[in-house]
Amino acid sequence: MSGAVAMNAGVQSPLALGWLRLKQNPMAIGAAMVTLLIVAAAVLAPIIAPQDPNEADLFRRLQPPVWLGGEWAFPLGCDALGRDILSRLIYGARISILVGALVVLIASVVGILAGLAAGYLGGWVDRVITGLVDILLGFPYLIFAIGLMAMMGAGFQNIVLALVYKEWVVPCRIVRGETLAAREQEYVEAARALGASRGHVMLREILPNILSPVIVVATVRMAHVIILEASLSFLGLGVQPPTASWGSMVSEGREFLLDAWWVSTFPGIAILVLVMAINVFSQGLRDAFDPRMQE
Amino acid sequence: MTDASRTPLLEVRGLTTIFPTRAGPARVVDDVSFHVDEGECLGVVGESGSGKSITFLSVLGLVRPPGKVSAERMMFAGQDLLALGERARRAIRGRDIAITMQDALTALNPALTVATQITEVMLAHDRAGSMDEARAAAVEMMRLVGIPAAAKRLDDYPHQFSGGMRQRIMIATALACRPRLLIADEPTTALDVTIQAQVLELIAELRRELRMSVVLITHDLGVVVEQADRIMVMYAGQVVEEGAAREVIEDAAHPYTAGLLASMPSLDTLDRPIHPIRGQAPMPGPMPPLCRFLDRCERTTEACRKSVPLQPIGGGRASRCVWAEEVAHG
Amino acid sequence: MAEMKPLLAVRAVTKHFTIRTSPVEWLMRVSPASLKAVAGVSFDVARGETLGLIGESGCGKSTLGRTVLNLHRADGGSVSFDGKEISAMPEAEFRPYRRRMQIIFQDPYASLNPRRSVAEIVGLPLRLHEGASARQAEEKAAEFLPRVGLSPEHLRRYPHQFSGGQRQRIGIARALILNPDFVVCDEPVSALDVSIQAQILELLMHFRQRYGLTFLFISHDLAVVGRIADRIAVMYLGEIVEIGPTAAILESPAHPYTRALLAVAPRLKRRAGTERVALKGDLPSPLDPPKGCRFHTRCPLAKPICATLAPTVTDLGTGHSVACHLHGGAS
Repeated sequence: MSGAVAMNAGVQSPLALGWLRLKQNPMAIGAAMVTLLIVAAAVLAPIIAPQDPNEADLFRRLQPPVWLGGEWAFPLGCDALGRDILSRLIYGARISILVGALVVLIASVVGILAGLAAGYLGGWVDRVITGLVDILLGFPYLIFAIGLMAMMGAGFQNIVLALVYKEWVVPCRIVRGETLAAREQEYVEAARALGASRGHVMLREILPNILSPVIVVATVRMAHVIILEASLSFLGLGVQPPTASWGSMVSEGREFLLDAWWVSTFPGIAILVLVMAINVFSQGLRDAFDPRMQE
Repeated sequence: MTDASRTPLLEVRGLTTIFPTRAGPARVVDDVSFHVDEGECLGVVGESGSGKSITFLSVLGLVRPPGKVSAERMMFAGQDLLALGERARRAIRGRDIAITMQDALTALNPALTVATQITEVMLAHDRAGSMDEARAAAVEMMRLVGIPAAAKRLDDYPHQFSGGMRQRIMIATALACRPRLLIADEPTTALDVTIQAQVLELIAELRRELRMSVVLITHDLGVVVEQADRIMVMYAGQVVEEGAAREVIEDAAHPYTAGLLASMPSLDTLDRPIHPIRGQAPMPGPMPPLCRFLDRCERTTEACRKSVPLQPIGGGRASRCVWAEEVAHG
Repeated sequence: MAEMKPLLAVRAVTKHFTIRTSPVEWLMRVSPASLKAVAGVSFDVARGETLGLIGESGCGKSTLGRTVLNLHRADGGSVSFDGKEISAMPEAEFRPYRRRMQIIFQDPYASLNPRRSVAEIVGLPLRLHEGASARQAEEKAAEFLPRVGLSPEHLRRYPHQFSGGQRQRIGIARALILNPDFVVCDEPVSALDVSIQAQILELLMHFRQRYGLTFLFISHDLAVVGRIADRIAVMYLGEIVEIGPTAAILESPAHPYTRALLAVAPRLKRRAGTERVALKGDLPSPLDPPKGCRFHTRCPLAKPICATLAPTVTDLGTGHSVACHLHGGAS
């Protein structure tokens, strides 16, 4: 009996077990810390940014970083209008993270509800939703977003909308598949036999069991959305100047790549670091929470 | 059957298999000794977690790390299995000792045709000179296990067969090299009752025809009653009782065996009230040096609070109970 | 015999499943294949009685159990519960009946939601039907757990922390906490270890006696059903081929299929003849059941008529009836 006692000593929900596993993964913890650091910088931008990100001064035009003969007030140098690159990076993080988080959040909510409805209710609901998903999947993502942006015009709100329009398809397909499998489980039948409503079955019985893969994928997608936002901004379809965004910063430095590489390179590195950190963290999440990894 | 001068086909002594668990190393198979005579059917009975399957996977050298297997003696047909290298052991596996798994659907490779799976073993063990010869032998095997239109179905995939037929195919695969020992691990559990009877009948028939020895691993006493010459009952990694099948069923000498018999639903005993064994088997993990059936037993006394050895009680029988005599005759 | 209205009356119930078609097939209007899982089944279950329903996998016994509970809707025929026709009731109207009609499942692993604690699982019926708050439901669940052999300390644990037998006890608590009248037991012991099977069987018999429960007890094991059932119905490929009092079915089985099941049922004494009478062949596909008597392809006693004409039900007296050409009528 000793084995049983030892196993039951700590009463743990599957979620708590997942956290325990996550905490033992140094790579994931490191990645999470990098991500949090960038998020903190974005939130605290007005406090920690050394300069006003939009203050132009043509005397400082293309001033190099401090180790190449620049000055300490502008450690990463200045862009073509003489604005401080470090400050613009810090403010630009706000756009990247906000767009990434908002798009993934809205898309997840929409996708989860649509996926649950398609998978559990079936019939014409399923046909309509899967049909829509299949149509949206037929368009290349970036071209679809460019088209939408061209129609709606640039701007923060539109960029979020343009990405959500297609992004919800990803969680929707996962949730639909998982729901199809989960609805055949006997615990779902048990809830129905007890007289639970369809809403209860979908949201309280099925959803908690399929949430892990959705969360894991949502983090991966967040990295993807950040790249898409940067691409749109690079093409001039994103947030409008003078507001800083990593994508538009890369774009602005394009003409000076040969004589002032720092203008494009630092925002490029920022995108790389954030996306990699999120990806590594989501790997850790998957290892810790995806039920198929267990046992 | 008990001819003292004859050496058994398989003889194992002091077999121990250890798996690490969160609570510490678990002796999943704990000092198990047994033998299987030529042409004999040994029934191995136990519930899930009793170590009955791992025992035979250990004998075959199929336990993967982190599991650790050790034994004092392991002889098969005069060869010392402990002294053999991995290659030599693999040669014995499949050719001289074959095993069938419980779940025929997962044990057969879904991506290969039945023909490939049967002929592969024969070719690998040089039991067939050419592919044609092997295919002919495969058809013969499938006919032997009662698959209708065997020649036509040779190139079908496992999913194209029903559960009972898949079990037969797995037996055919196991028998392809005419092994001297067949280890059948729960050959009927996944099957319907009428199909179960067919498969058991098949194994009994093949045993007579091919004169092979059979180890029948099962949780179902009803199955061993009909088929086995001797029974070995396992509980929590240990052998708790051993003896001739009929004698063990008629007067069990260990409270666990007696409890299993009393709790087994059977058409002969409908008039008797059910008498379940209370509690549940211990989880695998480190065990205190006590009788492992202690907290489920109705006879527990102070004398049981120690590690009890498996002791012979005469007539080729053995029991791991301090009250063996009383259990058997009271 | 007092004329009592049965608690459950099932009349000519059929249940078909259409095999899912792909969107392309749907567009091309390919008519989907139909699986007749239950093909015209009638029986009664009296209040306080246990009817055993026996058959092999794929015979439709689980589908029948779920159809009776409106978990699947019957495609034809009727199901009456306590005098009310329920098979055509809208779900909203049927909901109050759910607390009176419950089900215990076979697989204690699949039937408990892994993300819910025991308190939530056992308390759910109270929350759904008695408007209990989470706290009230938990208190009542704590009171009920000892009756199924668990302790209130188990409330905060999750299914993965229990053994199969304990999980089955949780499933039983969930089904019985609202004190239902009628319970479908769908192979409740067949996934459990032998020593645990008897515990669960004993627990179910205890509840039946104490609360006067009515059971539809589904199993493939005659020895289990023989112990718990008052009457036994034998199902083969969607039809009931024989039904009667337990003693009659076990001692004088009339249908060759029942006889075959009896011949292979587990016994502890070795049979005198030693040889088991095994049925030939497999269960035919329910997608394409044999014409005539559905059992004729495997029947050791089949006559030419069996292949062409489906047998009608013959009453053998004392509630024992059989659908087989060897008995009565159609000659």
